[in-house]
Amino acid sequence: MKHYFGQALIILVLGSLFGLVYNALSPSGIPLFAAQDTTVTGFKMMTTDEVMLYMKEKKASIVVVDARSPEEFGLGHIPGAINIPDTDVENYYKKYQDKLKRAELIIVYCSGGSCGSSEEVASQLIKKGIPASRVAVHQDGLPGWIKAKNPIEFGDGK
Amino acid sequence: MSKKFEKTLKGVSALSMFGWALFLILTSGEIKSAIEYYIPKYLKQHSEICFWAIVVLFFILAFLISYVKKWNIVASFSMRAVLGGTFILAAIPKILDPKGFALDITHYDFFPKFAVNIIAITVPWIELFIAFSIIFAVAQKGGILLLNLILVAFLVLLGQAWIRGLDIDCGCFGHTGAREAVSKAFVRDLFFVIWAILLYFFTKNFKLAKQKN
Repeated sequence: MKHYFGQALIILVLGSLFGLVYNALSPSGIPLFAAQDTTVTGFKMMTTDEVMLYMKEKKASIVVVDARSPEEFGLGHIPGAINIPDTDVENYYKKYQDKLKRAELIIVYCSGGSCGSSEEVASQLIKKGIPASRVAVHQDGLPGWIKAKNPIEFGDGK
Repeated sequence: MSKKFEKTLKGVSALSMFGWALFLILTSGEIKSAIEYYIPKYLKQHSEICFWAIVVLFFILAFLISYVKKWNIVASFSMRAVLGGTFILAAIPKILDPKGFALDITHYDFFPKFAVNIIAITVPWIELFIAFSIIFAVAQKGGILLLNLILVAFLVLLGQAWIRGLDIDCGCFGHTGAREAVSKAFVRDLFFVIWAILLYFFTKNFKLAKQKN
């Protein structure tokens, strides 16, 4: 039995080592630990307060994107937000591309915590040619927004 | 190894192989899209034929395990090939796109933020090493032990996502965009766990056979 564990440990250590070395050398490598103020994939994270401040001061030049499903979006979203669900970025992007390209800052949110859809949409937007420096992720998402007693808009946003 | 135990192993091997073939038919949509993703371009229009060839192959394997005298060699060989092959196919896209894989891990809403990137960096390589270990029988005992551990870990992860009703991409084969339901991935993982446990007994069995000679 000892034999089994020894070999397993060797494979585990070798695998991890190769992974770490490859990640360090590869151009597509990621940081070992995500920084405090960024998401795991490196997007700037914004708190609810920051989002509120931006919406107040620079309303004309920012676009807030809701990355949840259209059904969830219809049940309530941040006022003025547009819906780009992570499952269908392609079609929804076409609908809003002029607005997105003009924006100085795009803030993407979903259901808060590590819901992941916001990061998904954010990375898809960057693939579509929007500079990464203009994209941020609202870390608390809609629950954080509601918790701070902010207004909510209903309907499909049209 | 007693005769009765060997018979049980044989029964489980044949039944699981048969069940696997049926499972492939039930999830034909995903399998076909996977075939289209992995096979060369000129074969793409033949994905239907490739799919049915694979299904028939597994029915033949189930049949062979049931009726051939050296069934354990057939079973062990086919399980090694499927598990090893799947692990290689699963590892490569994840190695090439660690960012996408990290994103897939966050969707599970299970690991703390500081652990996500480390997992995304190391797990695909560990999968690759396990695959080589069981295919080429190098340090295979350890490989099979790790295979069991990692598959049970996947089972727990997929199970909790399924119970919580998370509508997420399994991420099993990297961030390919082809969404695969967590429930299907869970059932597939269940087959793999059965085979990984069987492989453990097969390696013991082979050792016994060698000693007799």
